[in-house]
Amino acid sequence: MEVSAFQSSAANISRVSSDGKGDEPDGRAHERALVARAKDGDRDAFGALYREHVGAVARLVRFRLGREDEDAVSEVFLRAWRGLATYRDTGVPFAAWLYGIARHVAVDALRASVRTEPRAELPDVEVEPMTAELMTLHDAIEQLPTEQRQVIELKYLVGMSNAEVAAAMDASPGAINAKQWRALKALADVLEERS
Amino acid sequence: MTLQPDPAAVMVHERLERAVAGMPTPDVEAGWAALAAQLEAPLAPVVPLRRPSRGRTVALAVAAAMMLAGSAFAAVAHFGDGRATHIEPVATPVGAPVTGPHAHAPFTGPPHTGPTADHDRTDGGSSATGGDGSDSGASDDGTSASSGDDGDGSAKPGDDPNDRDQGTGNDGEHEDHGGGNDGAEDSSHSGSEH
Repeated sequence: MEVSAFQSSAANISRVSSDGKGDEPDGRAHERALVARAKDGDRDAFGALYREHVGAVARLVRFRLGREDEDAVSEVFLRAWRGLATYRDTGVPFAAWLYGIARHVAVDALRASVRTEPRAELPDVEVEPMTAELMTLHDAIEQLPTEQRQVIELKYLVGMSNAEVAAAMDASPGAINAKQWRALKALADVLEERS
Repeated sequence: MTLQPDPAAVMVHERLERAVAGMPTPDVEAGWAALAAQLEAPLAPVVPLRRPSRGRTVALAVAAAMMLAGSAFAAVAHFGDGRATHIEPVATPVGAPVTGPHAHAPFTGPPHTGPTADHDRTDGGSSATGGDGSDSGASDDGTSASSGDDGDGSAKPGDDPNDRDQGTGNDGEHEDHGGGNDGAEDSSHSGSEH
């Protein structure tokens, strides 16, 4: 019983929490068409891209900042809209491009929060259990090498498939699968050290 | 044969999935409405850092006019009376001595070419040198050219690398500072040279 559940989990690792949009060619072609229309200034097409990717961007921003930040999410898509003219479709998924922008926005938001005046006393707000779990995972992932951290974030937070991560990182899907295993093992070691 | 995954890695995988699934889903339509309003807002106009100003143009024009006026005034002051300043060429006599801080001493004649007694030499730096070092300062063989006229202390292709007489005319390995002997002389004879 336990073994079968274990094998089921292992088999599911390669299809992580994706909504199934990336693996099929039609979805990829549809996304390319939307991006091309958005580059021409079609706001409706950009709206469709927003609806498709805002969940992943919001997860990534929350994971990076440790809090929900609607302004940061909007900033990601605002920069994407203004930078669409320079976007070149080289086979890398659009989500990977958004992921790069989101990382920069998160860094800027963290710097801005550091520059603000520190409070004498922290507000007495209870931290949610889920937030505490996210912070624990975030701190552990930050200890990983860059490549392993990117694999974890792209697969679990952005929700990419192995093929999409492979296209984004210029590697084969098999190599990405191996990197994911190594990253998970390293993450387990870090979490064990911390506990 | 399939590779069995690490149980710890599988546990972390499930933990990550649970954490991600527990994240709240954003309000997509409200977020898009707010974003669409920002998309319509025009970008801030680009303002160049140095705009052309009337004051700077006037200042440059005044400066140029003053420069032209100054040049014209200088031309009128020098040539306005109709007489162009004529500079006569200065003729220098051939035999006139040249004076000045960089003038060299006049050439007084060819160097001695024959055997010369030491007591005849008063310009040991400029006279012929090249004694063989065995004459005890009695005479020179006169076969070597003088290097004392160079006198600038710089190395020449024919200079003796061991020459330390600062170009005063001696080529041998001695340090009599222009006393006129060339060979590796005995120091007891140096007093008779002067």
